[in-house]
Amino acid sequence: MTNVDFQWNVQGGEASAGRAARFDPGSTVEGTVTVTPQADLNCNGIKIRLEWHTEGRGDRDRKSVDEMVAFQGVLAGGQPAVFPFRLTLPDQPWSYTGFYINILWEIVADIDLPLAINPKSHFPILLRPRAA
Amino acid sequence: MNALKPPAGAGRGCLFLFAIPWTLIACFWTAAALLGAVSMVRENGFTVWTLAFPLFGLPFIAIGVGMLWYGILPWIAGLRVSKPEVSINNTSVKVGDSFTISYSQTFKHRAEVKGVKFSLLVRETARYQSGSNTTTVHHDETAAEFDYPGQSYETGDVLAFSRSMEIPRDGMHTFQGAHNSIAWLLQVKVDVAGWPDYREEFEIQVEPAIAR
Repeated sequence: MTNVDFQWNVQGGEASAGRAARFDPGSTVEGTVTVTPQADLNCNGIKIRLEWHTEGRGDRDRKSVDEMVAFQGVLAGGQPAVFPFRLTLPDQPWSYTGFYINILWEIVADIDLPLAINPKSHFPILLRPRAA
Repeated sequence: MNALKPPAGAGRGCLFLFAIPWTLIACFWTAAALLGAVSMVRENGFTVWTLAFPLFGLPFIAIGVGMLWYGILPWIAGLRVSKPEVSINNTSVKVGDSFTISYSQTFKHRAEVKGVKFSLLVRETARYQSGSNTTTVHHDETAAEFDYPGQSYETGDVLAFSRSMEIPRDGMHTFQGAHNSIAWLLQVKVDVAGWPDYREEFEIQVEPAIAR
């Protein structure tokens, strides 16, 4: 297992105590993810994705709605590498917490390694318009 | 005006069709077992075990009759009242929208209605696979409901009214995934004295936007 440290810095959105930041449907979410591997990593690519999935009683539904390849090549061990991203949120589905169904949004940083388990980090967000 | 339709789904009709051969086979099997038991009683006399086979078939007949009854119930309920016509004044309903429901239902025969209940509900439907079995579960959350008072209706009388309702501002839009869905429904229950209740559901498509 490859040890990699991820640090997220996501701008915008509406922060609320103890919850993920809320973003309006159709808006953009941007920021940086800082990746620090413990050892040198030769990666096929660092993909930053915006995706939603369901949790709860039913089988999982999921969809990746936006993706960018932030880097390809060798990441130097112990050296923090900063990757900016800018992703566009769609109109739906909104984040939802129900009885059998939860809809969760997240930004995923996925380091694609050849013949190894991809290190990943998830940054949760809320996609929902302001109610009032 | 935007006419509402019941949600899609085979449901009771398929169950009724399945129940017909089920019940016939159960009846045939039980009758054959009973004939065998009678001939055994004639030859060897009565023992408790001679009844075992015919009694074994009875629960299967009961299940078949239950499925037939469940399948045919809406049809029986519909003998007194026609299908209602339900429409809303908005062509597109958003989260937080107020809308007016227009309801109209004609009585085919004289009926003593004890009450009519309308519920606006959000239904979560989740489907999951466990081995080779697929299970679907539902959960209903009532957002609003109101009762229309009961009265006597003669043949040809029409139950008609309009009523304002609202999708809560903190509610969810209609969602359709491969295994999970969230739907807004208007559920109607007409309680007719001495007759099965007439029940119907109508789907309201709620757009992913907040009403301004």
